[in-house]
Order: sequence, then structure tokens, then C-alpha cells
Amino acid sequence: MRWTLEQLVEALRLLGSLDRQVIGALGLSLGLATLSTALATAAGVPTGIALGLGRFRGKRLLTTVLHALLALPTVLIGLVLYTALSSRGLLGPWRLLYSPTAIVLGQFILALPLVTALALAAAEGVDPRVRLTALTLGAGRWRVARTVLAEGRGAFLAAVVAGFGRVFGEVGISMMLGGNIRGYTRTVTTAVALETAKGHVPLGIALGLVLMAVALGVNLLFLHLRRRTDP
Amino acid sequence: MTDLAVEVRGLAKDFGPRRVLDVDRFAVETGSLTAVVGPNGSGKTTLLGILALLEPPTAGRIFLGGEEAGPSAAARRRLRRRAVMVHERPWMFHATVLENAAYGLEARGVGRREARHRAAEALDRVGLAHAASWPGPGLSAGEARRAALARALAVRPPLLLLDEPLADVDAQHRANIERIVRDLPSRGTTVLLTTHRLETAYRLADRCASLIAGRLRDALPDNHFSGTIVEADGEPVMALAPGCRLHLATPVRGPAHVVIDPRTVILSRTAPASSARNFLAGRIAALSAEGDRVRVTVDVGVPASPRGVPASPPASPRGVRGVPIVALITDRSLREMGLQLNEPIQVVFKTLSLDVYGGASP
Repeated sequence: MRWTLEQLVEALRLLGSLDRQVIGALGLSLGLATLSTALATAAGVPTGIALGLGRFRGKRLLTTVLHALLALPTVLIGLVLYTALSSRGLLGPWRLLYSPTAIVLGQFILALPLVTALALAAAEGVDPRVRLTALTLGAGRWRVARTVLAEGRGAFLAAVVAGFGRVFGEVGISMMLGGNIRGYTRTVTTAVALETAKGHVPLGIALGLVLMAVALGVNLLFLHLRRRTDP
Repeated sequence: MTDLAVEVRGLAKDFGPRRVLDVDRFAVETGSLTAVVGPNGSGKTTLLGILALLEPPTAGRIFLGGEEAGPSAAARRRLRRRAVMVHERPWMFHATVLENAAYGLEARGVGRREARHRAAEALDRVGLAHAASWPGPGLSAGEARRAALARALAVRPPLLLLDEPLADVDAQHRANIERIVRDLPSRGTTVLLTTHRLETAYRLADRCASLIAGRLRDALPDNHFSGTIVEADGEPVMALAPGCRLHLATPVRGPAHVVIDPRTVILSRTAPASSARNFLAGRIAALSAEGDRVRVTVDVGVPASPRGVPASPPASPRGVRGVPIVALITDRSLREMGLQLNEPIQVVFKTLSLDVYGGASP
């Protein structure tokens, strides 16, 4: 107990003296998570709306598969992509392994099922009269989807926030595909893992606290956005 | 041949094992104002949803403006623009009332400026010009209904489908909405509306149909009478003809409609000793089979007086000189009683089996 407290106090002391490297890792974490979430949103929200509003055979099976993908472990995504991206792999010639791009690719795959599943639930949760009203007033497919998106924007925003949270805090993909290269692919989570492995527990905790604070800040920002856009 | 704004043939709609709509044929002429009258849950909203191509029927063919709604999604989308449906509880988008009213026009590719201008005109027509900048979801139920009507009017659709257009609208705006709806055919919009109130149908429509338990009849229900309810010997009565009056149990006085469910009308050869307050002597004017049921039309009383006239459509069977009252009985009852045309008979029904609708137009 005493040891834990000592580590925590040391971590708080270190918070005040976090160096440029930590700021860099934090910037990279934010940048990669934002990019991968944006890509997952661009692909997942329209797919979720299409699945939520569509009536077609096999919809239930597709939804079940989508929900199963939510449990995809980050380390498995990392491993599969690692195999594909390594020099003898299928995508080896792209020479992406141990690059920020590889991390974004992995995080995109991680966030996509979550954003899609939550967007699907959001679309299904929108009052059915929204779609019927848009249709009877002459809206085409795109306008109907846009209207559903606008009417359920709170729930769709929540899907995006959840996607961001999922990728911002992951470590398996960043470690396996980024390689934890200082100043290039070292994110806050991989730094935490490294420092802890090196026995620098207080520094690990301090970095973890920074991660939490930033995640909280991002969520507050989304909450503010949601309040502003909701009528 | 008359132009038809909408026509359905062999239409059926099932919800699970339950058939909620079963319509052989129904058509609405272009430029007409038709009312479908039926109680809540009779399938009115489902019918409008199918006609608006918002909901697929289980079976049947739908024609809008003579063109059949085929299976192609793109063709249905194009055809859907010929009709606009206004729901009973309309949805207001999270936007201003003006933006709501302009939605249909913008969806049809009308420029934003022109769309807003026409939307503002439509809002003015329904008395909501002052609410243009209000948020749509903040409107009261009655205001939302008027805003939704304006939203539909703005696109000037060839066919307007109104689901219970006057429910929740306060008395102050009711007359205005009725006037707008009545004027629509002359402005090139055919109107099909549903209502559960007979008097609404009478006031507005030039043709009425009834929908009961998913079955559409191109006429109002049998045994539908309009007249004046007065107090006689301490109880409300409506005179159908001299010496022929209905005993009622209702607080309504003055102009009213009365409907007697033909299934509750009993036929008897002698005046029965029963609790029923209404028994009228007449003669059998018509017998017709309807599946395993038989419609027996009994002519009671003498030709109608100005005080009470049968309000049923002019489908009275030949030979009826007085007031026709229809009884629906089983095939077996008919055989057992051995009923014959022109035979004298008593019709008997309880006052509680009469539905009274107040406020009939004079």
C-alpha cells in the first residue's frame, strides 16, 4: 500500500516536469486517434445508417457479425496487419510497417465496427416518422440519410466519441505496428508500456494521468458540441 | 374515362398473421375531395401509408395518376412525389418552422430562396406566419399539424393524403383548415383524408367511404341517419319520418348523425317483450347475400319528411318508400325464419347500440 502511494506521489511530482518528448508522444496519440476516428466515421456512419434504414435479406446476420467484431482484440488486429505489412507479407512492398500510417490503418480497423454498430443503433433509434416524412416530402436516398443523421445527431456523435475513446487508449496496435520508435511512432500508451517495463512506474503513471486528462478533455469538447447542436 | 388520382386493386396488408387491410378496388378521381371514415384502428393510416408509397402492401397493385407503382425503387421514388402524406402526429424536423415548410421544395431541387419564399406563403395560409423562426419541435400538437399541412401545401402535390387533419386543431383554426382543404381541389390538388368523425367527412368531402376492420366500402356505413335530436316525453329522440322515431341515450341535442350497427338489429315477427326501446314496424324491401351473412333491408315508415332524411348514399334498394334499416343476419337465421320479400316485420334495437355524432351540418 505504502509503495503504491509513493509511486503515485512521485508520478504527480513528475507531471510538473514532463518534457518535450512526452508532449510529442501526446501530440502523436491525438493526431493518430483523430485521423483513424475520422476515417472510421467516414466509412462507418454511412454504413450504419444504410444498415439501420435498409430492409434486406441477411440484415440480422450482418448485424450479428458486426457485433462480434466489437470484441476483436487489438493484439489480433496488430498481429494480422503485422503479418501483412512485414517485408515478406502481402502488403510488404508498401513498406508501411513501423510507421504512423500503419498505426492509423490498425486503429481504423479497430474503430470501424464500433462506429458502424453504434451508428446502426443510432439510425434505428431515430423516430420512424423522420424517414417517412422525408420520403413523402420527396427526399431521395441521400437526403433521407442526411435528415436521419441530423435528427439523431446526438447518438451519432456518441458513436464517434466511443470510436475515438477506443483508439486513443489502445496499446497493442501502436506497439506492434508502430514499433514504439522515439520521436516517430511513440504514443502515450506505448510510452506507458515502455516506462513500466523499464521499472519507471511513476513516469508510467504520470503518462497515464495525462492520457486520462486528455481523454476527459476530448469528451467534454464533444459534450459541448452536442449541447450546441442539439435544439 | 375519368382521370384517377389514385387507384388500388386487390390490396391487402398483413401484420403477422393478422390481415389489417383487404380492399378489392378503391379509386379517387382527380380533383375530388374524398373522406375515408372509420373508427380508430380500422386501418386508415395504413391505407394512406400504402397509397403514399411509404409502406409496401402484402398484395395488390397501386396506380398513381394512372401509372402503376412497380417494383423498381427508382420508379417508386419518382412516383412517390405525386403524393404527399400528412401524418396524424406529424414529425417536425429539428429546424425552424420555415425550414420545415421548405423541406419538400428543397428536396425537389427548388433553390433555397424560392423555397423559403413559397414556404412562407404556405405558413401564412395556415396562420403560422408569425412562427416561421420558431423551432419546429417546440410547436403544440395543433400547431405542428398546421405546420405539417403548410409543409405539404408548399410543394403543391397533385395528391394530398391527410390523416385525421382536424384532430388537435383548436376551434379557432379549424374553420380555416377546413376552408383550405375544401379549396384544394380547385387549386389542382386531389384530397383524400381520413377521419373518425362523420361530421368532418360530411362537412368537407364530396364523397365518403367507410373503412371498418380493414374493409373499405364505397359508401358510408349502413343505417346512417341525420336529423335533429329533440326532447320528447323527457327523453331524446330523432324523427326519421312521421310516426317513426329513434329513441336515443345521448346528451346531444340538435343536429346530429345516428348510426345503427346492422349486426345489432334484430328482426321479429311480433313486437317483442324486451328491454329494447326501439321497435319499428316495416316490411322487407330487399334481401342480399354477403358471404354467410344476409343483408335484410326493412322499409320502415312512410316517405321521409324534411325533419329527418336517410343520410345513406343514394343506394337505397328499389321499393323502399320510407326509411331503409338494414339488419345483418346469418344465413341460418334467414332459413329458420323463412323470411320473404314484402313480408311485414319488426326491427328491434337497443338505444345503446346507436352511435350518435353531434354537430351535423344543417
